[in-house]
Amino acid sequence: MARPTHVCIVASPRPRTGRTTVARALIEFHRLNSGRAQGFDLDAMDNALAQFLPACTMPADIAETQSQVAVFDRLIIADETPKVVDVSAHAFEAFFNVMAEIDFAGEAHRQGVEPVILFAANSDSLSIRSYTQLRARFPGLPVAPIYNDGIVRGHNLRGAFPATSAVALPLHVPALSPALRTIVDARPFSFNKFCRRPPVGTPDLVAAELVSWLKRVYLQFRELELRLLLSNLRGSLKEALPDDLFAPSRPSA
Amino acid sequence: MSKPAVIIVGADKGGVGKTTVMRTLLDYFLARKVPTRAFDTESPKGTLKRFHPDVTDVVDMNHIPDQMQIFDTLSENAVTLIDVRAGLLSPTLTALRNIGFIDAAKKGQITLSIFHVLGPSIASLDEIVENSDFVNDVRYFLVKNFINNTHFFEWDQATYNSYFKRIKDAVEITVPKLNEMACEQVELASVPFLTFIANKKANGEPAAYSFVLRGYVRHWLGHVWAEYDRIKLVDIVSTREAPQIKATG
Repeated sequence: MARPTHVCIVASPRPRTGRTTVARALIEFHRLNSGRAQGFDLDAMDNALAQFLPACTMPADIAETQSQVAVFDRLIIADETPKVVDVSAHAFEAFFNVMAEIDFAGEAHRQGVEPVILFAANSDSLSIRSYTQLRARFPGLPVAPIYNDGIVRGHNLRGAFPATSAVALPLHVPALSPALRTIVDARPFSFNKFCRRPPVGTPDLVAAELVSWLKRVYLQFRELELRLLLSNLRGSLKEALPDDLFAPSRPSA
Repeated sequence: MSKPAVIIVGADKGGVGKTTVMRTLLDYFLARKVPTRAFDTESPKGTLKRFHPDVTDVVDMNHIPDQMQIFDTLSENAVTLIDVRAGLLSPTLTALRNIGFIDAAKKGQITLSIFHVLGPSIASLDEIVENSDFVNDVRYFLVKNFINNTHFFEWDQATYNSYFKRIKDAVEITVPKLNEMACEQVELASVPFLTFIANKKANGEPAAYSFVLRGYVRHWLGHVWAEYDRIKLVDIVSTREAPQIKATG
């Protein structure tokens, strides 16, 4: 059985929610695991993701049809290459409108592509409303909230961003210290490269902090991946073994 | 079908999307397994024939032999659709009245429906008046076609309503705008909308059309067909119950 191709859509209707940091970490997680991942940066104003990881990220302006074709025609290919889409605040509405109009979720299911929406949670009313609307709009898709401690620490968001299924459990992103934040935010930057070989002069404490942070984040990505695989396996088994498999056969006439 | 059904699609102005409307109608009937035959009056070129060659004949409405080919061969077994060349809607209706076709429709011997595709100008409203003399007893549909990015805003609503009411029981149909690139790609592919959605070439072989553009066409065609379902088009041309079908490939 071919492995499903995972498409992680990291989105937020608000800027500065730590969305791109999660997208970057996701791409690097997949590259560490399987050596491949494709990123899509829909932030036409900043293109942060494309600047952090230029070798594997395609920038696109989702308002243009050509970009929509370039993005979604690649997302729908079941090539086992994990894909990560960074949906910025200004691309949020347009992206999900196109996604709904072309029935990406339905076609993805038919093609063996598994999309999951990772929603960067925030305490504002727009974020809460958008999360609820996304769940209603794409009922078959897992929508998992991301609680970024560096952004939403102190807010209890569980009530406003409930888990949608056993697959879409919340992701917790620990806060980075200001010193580490400065290093991590300098473009270009690779988490994996830094952890493998920290630049000369990097204090051991800072390097250790990033390794620890990354381990915690990657562990959650691994768990999410396994939950998705398990869910996919359960679905396949259900198809292979119908509910009425052991139903008593009808007496012959 | 208990009696022959004829659908005329026309406008007195060119470029308002008559052939596009005609193509959506042919796809609609095909999906509902209603047999059709179509006549393209853009002689000798025939844009419609490029998309639906199997069911389309190119004719010249000014030639009596061609008129005979259409009207003397009407059948209860297939809906006859006529894509009337730009500028010929009113003359065609006049000719139909002269050969007794409109009267036959009034007497219920045939089912005649007219899809009048409107342009954005006030001249389109004048066409309604021109046609109102002899179409009060047929099914008359005014099609607002937005596919070419048409804007109907220049019409004052009160003015439009006054024209609209000239034809008794006229029904309005709205064809929404289709994404321009999607529209262009279907044109290039030269296949019916349904074939494009199904990602196939004209000869049935698999094609490589964009998933996004196919999605746009499917979504758009679904809206157009919803309009045809709303007016119960299958019931109009047939006594059979109209099934609800989605525009899927």
